[in-house]
Formats: sequence, C-alpha cells, structure tokens
Amino acid sequence: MFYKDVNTVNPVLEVKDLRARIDDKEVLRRVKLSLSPGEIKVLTGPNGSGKSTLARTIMGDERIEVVEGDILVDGESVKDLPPEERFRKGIFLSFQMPPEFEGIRIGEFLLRISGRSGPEAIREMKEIAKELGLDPSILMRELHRGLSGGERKRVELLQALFLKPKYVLLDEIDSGVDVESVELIAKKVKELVDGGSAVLFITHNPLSLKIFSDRPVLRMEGGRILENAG
Amino acid sequence: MRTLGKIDPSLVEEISRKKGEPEWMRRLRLRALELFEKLPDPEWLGGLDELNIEEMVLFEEVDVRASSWDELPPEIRKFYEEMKLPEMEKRYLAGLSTSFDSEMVYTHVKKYLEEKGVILLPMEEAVKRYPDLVKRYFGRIFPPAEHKYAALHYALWSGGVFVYVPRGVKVEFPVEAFFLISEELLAQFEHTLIVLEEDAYLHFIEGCSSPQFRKFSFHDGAVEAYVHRNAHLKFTTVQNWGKNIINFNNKRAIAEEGSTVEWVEGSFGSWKSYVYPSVILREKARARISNFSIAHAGEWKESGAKLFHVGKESRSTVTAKSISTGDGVSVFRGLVRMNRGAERAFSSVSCDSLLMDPQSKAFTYPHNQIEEPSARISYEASTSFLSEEQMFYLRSRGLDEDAARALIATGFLSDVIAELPPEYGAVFRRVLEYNFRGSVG
Amino acid sequence: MKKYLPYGDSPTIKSYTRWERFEEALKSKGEIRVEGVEPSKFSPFEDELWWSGIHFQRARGFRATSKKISIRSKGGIAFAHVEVPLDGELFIFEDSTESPLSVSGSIKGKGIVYHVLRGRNPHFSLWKVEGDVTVHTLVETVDGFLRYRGRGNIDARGVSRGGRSDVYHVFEAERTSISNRHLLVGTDGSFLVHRPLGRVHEGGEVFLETLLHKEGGMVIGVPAVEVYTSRVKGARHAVKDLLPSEEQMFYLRSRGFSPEEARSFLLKEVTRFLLGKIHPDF
Repeated sequence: MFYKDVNTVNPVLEVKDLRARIDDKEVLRRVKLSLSPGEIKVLTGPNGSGKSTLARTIMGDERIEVVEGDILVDGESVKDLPPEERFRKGIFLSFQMPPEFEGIRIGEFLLRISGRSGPEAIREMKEIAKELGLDPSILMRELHRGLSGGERKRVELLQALFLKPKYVLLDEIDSGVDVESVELIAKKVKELVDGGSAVLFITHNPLSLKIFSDRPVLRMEGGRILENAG
Repeated sequence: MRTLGKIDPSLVEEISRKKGEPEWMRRLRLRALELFEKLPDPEWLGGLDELNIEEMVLFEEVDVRASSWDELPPEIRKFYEEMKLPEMEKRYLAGLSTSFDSEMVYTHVKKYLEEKGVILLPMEEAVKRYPDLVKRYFGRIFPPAEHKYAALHYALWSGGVFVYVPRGVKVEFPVEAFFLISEELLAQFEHTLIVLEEDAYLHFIEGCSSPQFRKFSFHDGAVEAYVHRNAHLKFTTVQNWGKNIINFNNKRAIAEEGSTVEWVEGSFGSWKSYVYPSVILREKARARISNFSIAHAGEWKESGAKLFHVGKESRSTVTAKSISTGDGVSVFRGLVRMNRGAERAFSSVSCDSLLMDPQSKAFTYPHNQIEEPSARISYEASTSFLSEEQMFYLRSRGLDEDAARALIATGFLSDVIAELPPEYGAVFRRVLEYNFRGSVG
Repeated sequence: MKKYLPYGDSPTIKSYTRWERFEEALKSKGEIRVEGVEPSKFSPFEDELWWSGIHFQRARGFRATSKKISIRSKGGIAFAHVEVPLDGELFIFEDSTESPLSVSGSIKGKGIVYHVLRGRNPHFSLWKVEGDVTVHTLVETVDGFLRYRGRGNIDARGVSRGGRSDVYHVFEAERTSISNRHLLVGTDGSFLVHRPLGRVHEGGEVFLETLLHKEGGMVIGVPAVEVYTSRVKGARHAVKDLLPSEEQMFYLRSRGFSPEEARSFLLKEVTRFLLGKIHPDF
C-alpha cells in the first residue's frame, strides 16, 4: 500500500489557502498547513473553531465544499479525489466520533482495509491491542458498537498503528480518557512518527499540550489558523 | 371487538334535513352508513371489547349562534372562560371557532383574515356556501371505506371547521377551534377540512375538553387536510377529554410536491384513545409527526403514525413518546410504507415509552413495508422506566415523590412539548404536574 | 387482554405466500426422509395456528441423535416433529426442494443451533426454543413460514434471502435476555417478512432488530414489543437499512472502500456475522 514510501523525494501533505463552506456557512478561511513524515504538529483551538472540519476536508468529506485553495499529497493535488483515493495516497483520519457498524467485526475490518491476511497479521493486531490496554477479544466485537468512548478512540488508534499510514490526522484521540491513557497515546504517537509517519494531533487536552509542548502548535479560531503562537 | 346497536337510515336522513344539506352530502352519508353495516369490526382495536352505538345520543341540536364573546349564553361562556380562551384569543389567535356539543355556536373571524381571503367557517355552512370547493376534498382524503368507524363518522358527522387558505397567503397567527362534549352519552363526530393552496401557510390548533360524566361518551372525529404544492400546514391537537371518553380520531393529510405537513398531538385525557395521524407524501414532500400521550390507571391509549411515501425524495420524521402510570397501557401503532417509485425517500421513526409503575405497560407495533430499493427507513424504539435510583437521587435533592415523578415525566416529554405553541407548553407543564400530584396514576 | 394484534393494513401470511399453494400441498401425500434422528413418541406442543392442528395429526415423531439433522420430503407433503436436546453445536437442515414440507420441533438446552430452511415448495416450520441458545438461521424458501417460540436466554440471528418467507418469533423474556437480529435480503420478485414479538416481563431484556437490504421485491419489518411492567431491564427494537448512512459511508471511504465496495463489504460481513458457520457454504 502506501506505507513508509521511500521513493518520494519530498514527501509532504500541504494545505494551501483553503477556503471551505458547509451549505452557506464559511467554515475554513484561507487555511495553510504543511506536514512531513517525522513531524508532529499540534492543532488546537476552542470548540467550533474548525479543527475537525479541517481534518475532514483533508480526508474528503463531500458535505464540505472547497471553494478555493488546494490540498496536495507529495506534490499532487488530491482536491478532486474521493476519500478512498486519498486513503490510498496515504491520508488517514481517526474520527472524533466514529459511527457504529453492525455485524462488522473489528478484526475482519482491519484485515480488509490493510489488505493483509494470515496468522502473522492477526498476531500483530492482538499485540497492538494489548499495547493499547485493550483485551484482544475486542477484535471479535462489532466496529464501535457498544464500546465506550475511550475504547472507540483506542480502536481508531489501533487502526493507525496497524496500517502505519503516511499522514495521520488524529481528531481528539485523547478526549474523554484518563491520564494514563493520554500518556500512552502520546507514546504511541511518537512511535508512529519514529516509524516514518507524519501526525497532525488535534487536541485541547492540557496534558497532551504539555507533552507535545516542544512541537509546533497551530491555533485555530473561527476557521482560521492564527499566526504562529507556539 | 364488537359493535352493538344499529343506526337507522332515517336518523341519518333527519340529520341531513335539519342541517339543510345539499343532495350530494345526504347521499354521501347514506352510502357511508351502508359501508358501516358492511365493514367488519376492526380486529386491531385493542382494549375495547364492545361498543354500543345505540346507547349513545348521537345528535343534539343547539340553537345559539354568536360572533362575539358577549353574545354567548352565560353557562357556555363559563366553560370557555375556564379554559382561559378569551385571553388566548386576544393575544394569540387569529380566528376562533368553538363548538358547544354538535354545532358550531361561536365563530369569529378576524378582519385581516377576511381581507386575505381566508375562509374559516363551521363545516355545515361551508357545505352550503362553497359546495364545489368542499366537494372536491370532502371524504376523499380519509375515505369512509378506510374502516368501520370512519364510515360511521361520515354517516353521522356534525360540527367541525372548514379552513381554506388561498394561494400564497401565510397566516401568521395560529387558528384555533375548541370542541366540547357536555352531555352524557353524547357522541361527537366533528369533521374538519383544511385546504391550503400553493405556497400557503397555516398553523391550526384543535383543542378539546369536556367535563367528567358517569357514563360513556364516544368521539369519532376526522380531520382531512389537503396541502398543495409548497404549502405548509402545522396542525396541533391538545386533547384533554374527560376520563370516560372513548376517542377515535381519523386524521390524514395529502402532501403535494414540496409541501410540508406537521401533526403535533398531545393526549392527556380520555379513557381509551385511538389516534394515528397519517400523511400521504408526494415528491419532495415533508411530514413531521410528534405525539405524546399519557395513560393513567385504567386507561388504554393508542397513538401512532401512518406514512405512505408515494413520491421521490419524500421525507418523514416521527417522534412518539408515551407515559404509562398505574396500570395504564400505552400502545404505539405505526406504519411506514415506501411504494415502488418513492426513490430515495427517507423515514425516521423514534418511539419511546416511559413506564412509571410496576403494573404499567407499553406495547409497540411498528410496521415497515418497503417496496422501493433506494428508499430508506430508520425505526428505533426503546422503553424507559422509573428507577429507584432516580427517585432516590431526586428525593435526596429535596423533591417529594410526586414532584420527582412530575419532573421525570416532564423531562421525558420535553422535546415534544417544545413543539407546542408556548401558551400550550406552559399549560401542559401545569397539567402534567397536576397529573402527578397526589395521585399514583 | 388480547395478545399480538396485527395492524389493520398488514399483509398476513394468507395474503402473500400464495396460501392456495399450502392448501394444494395438503392434498398430496409424501414421505419423510430424515437423517440424524431416531423415531420417538412425542407430545405436540400447543400452537394456535390452524396449520399446526393438521401438522400434529400427521407428524411422525423423532428425536435427534447426531449433530447434523436433515429433514426432507418426497412425493408430496410430509410431516415431522423432532425433539432436540441441545448440548453444544447442532445443524438442522430442512429441505423442501423436492416436495412440500411441514416440520416442528423442540430445542431445549444449551448451545448453538445452525438452522437452514430451503426449497421451492410450501414449507412450514414451527420450533420451540428453551434454554441458553444461540440460533443462526438461513431462510431461502419460496412460500416458507417459520416460527420460533421460546423463553430463556436466546440470541437469534438470521438471514432471509430471496423467495417468499415469513419469519415469525414470539419470545418471552422473564429474568432472561432475548436478542433477535435478522436480515432481509430482497431481490426482484421476493417477498420477505420478519416479525419478531418480544414480551418482556419482570427482570427481562429484549432487543429486536430487522435489517434491510433491498435490490428489489418487498421487505416488511414488524418488530413488536410488549412490555408488561416497569420492572424490566430493557426493551429496544429497531428496523434499519443495511445501506450505510452518510457518515458511515464517509468512514468506510476514508478507509479505502469505494461506495460499491462499501456496500458489498457490509452485506458480506453482516451476513457472515448473522449466519456464523452456515455462511461459507451458502
């Protein structure tokens, strides 16, 4: 698939002067952003400032209309590509509120989206689950159905750790979880990045902000990214 | 369930004669009576073993007509004053029709409505003054053949309101009508017909109240609405019949292209009640049905919704909430039908029941019939119950048992109450509290 | 108080399964072919359906002796009643491919049952289920009528695929938990009904769900619930499209599925989930 891709000369996810609308309401105002493998950038801001909207626009949510600007992956525009293609190009979005899926087992789902199979893959899944503090039996459960908020976040993170995508957008993966989990998540994010991924870490958890205080922090407000505040 | 007693055709003839009706209406009544005889007893009517039609006094003539409050006889005025109608009328309503027993005795149409060409008349008068208009719709939206008691309604109908809103006219304030049953064993069969031409808007409020009586009274009313293209009708019913009433109401709207129909139904009273507002949706039409009802001890309250999606991209939403206290039974019956051709139509039904006492019951019978592959349905229902934990919590915050129950009930119904006009919302909260104060169901 | 009342408009079994086919079938006379059972006496359980009166008069009694039971008919309509003491896993195949079939049975115990009904002749099947039982059911009949009745901790999952069938459950939950999830896969000309009825008594818990996937035909979901007291653990029921919602679709596409792939993936996985071990072969 699209993991640590050694062939690209200058791998980067770029958002250029992005303006977007939902119905008649402007939700993103000339947003500029770039993200390269090995980087963690923190995106923070008050509720409703557009952080999730930005992440979803990058992923290609059709309900958000891009009015101006562009989104480029490794130099190539993906603005007109559907979400499934953007996934194949290396973008991964961990949902803030993932929808439930009846009858789809988590383990099966992981195999399918990764294109992998066999005992090796399953063993790896189980290990990652354990490392995240999840019982491996969760792989037999239906995707997000009946799981607590914390469990859902961890299942999203499990997917990222299993797939090792190039550009990982984590939308509030640390909200509603306890202190130990926040630290564990931070540890895993660093592992991802050390492995060659890029992470956009969307949060307003003070502990996460503290842990990642040495990284570039982008502040968003009213659909805009404010000039360097951190 | 069994129907006892017979209706003599001569009674129907008499009703028609007394009203001075045109021939076509007389014939409609007689045909409906034939249907009543032929149609089988509805087997889906739970909670009712038999109904003796003959025992009920069917038609009562009242000889009072007025067009302002002062002209009303004092005892009639008193009823209305108890309901606080005059204030409501002055502040809030555009036109007011009220009935005393089977006849419309009070009609008041405000000047600006007249100027806009809005017609608001007792149904009998409309039959005589606007026969062509009435004929086009009467009995065609909710046909007499639908079920036995619909047929009975058409044979004996009396009273009710006709509202006509011309093209493009938007009536800013709600129009209201009040129906009253006062005598023992009096049956009410009022028929309301509402027609909205293209682009019109109307909010109609039907309120009902009756004092308590010992024997039974039977109410078998109908509301038909025809909403033309892009028009919008909101129909709110506030039902607070006495504890001895058996209540049927046959309600249906036809929603033409791009139009919107909203049925908001609040049911506090009556002993047994069967009301399932329904809508036939054409292309891009929208329907919203919000119901709430309470079944106190000894009561059987049925509510629901019937939606027929005929047109593409039509959408419907149903929110139904019921509360059962004591050994009351709340029943939900719903039908969502997606006909072939209702492409990309969507219906969402959400039904919740709250059981407050160990003997309380709730039955839900949804029906989802889909013939169109691209149509979508979402139906969800759940039951909640008053838990000891909730009671303990509220009581540890200073509420006594009755207040706690009232609070939980109000909270449960809050989003449906929010649909009611603010005036009614406030009244309802008061009625709810009264319902729970000093009584377990 | 009357029990389950069909809604005024609902098509009943008589109106849609070409009931005359059942009546015709009664005129033929066939023999029962069974495997995995031994003959045994039985006491028919009470059932208010008129067909069951006829059935119990003519049925031969059997008792399950193996993990795989098959019941077929040949030459005309045949009737069988099977007692199934459940302990572990069990497969029941009912096949009306050759000729009409009428089956009843009683499953009692603990374990998992895989139940397959198929065939193009009138097919009548009545089962009583008691205990801690998971049932996976696949219905691929033309004019099939399946009814489960039961109490206990029951997890009934199933799929009705094509043809005409009416799957009807009546489950009572009293201090037990009942869950029923059934998928209707409608194809052109098919007519599928799912009508579970959950009766919830003290301490009971019920969850009923009809899932819909339509490529054609008519699908009808009528999950009814009767709650008899406030002292229950829970009662929920739902009817849902298998079609993903907008949000679900966005999620799946953001994981690499094209819209088509998303839909077929959902159908395949959900069917697999509902049918358990039945799925791979069918």
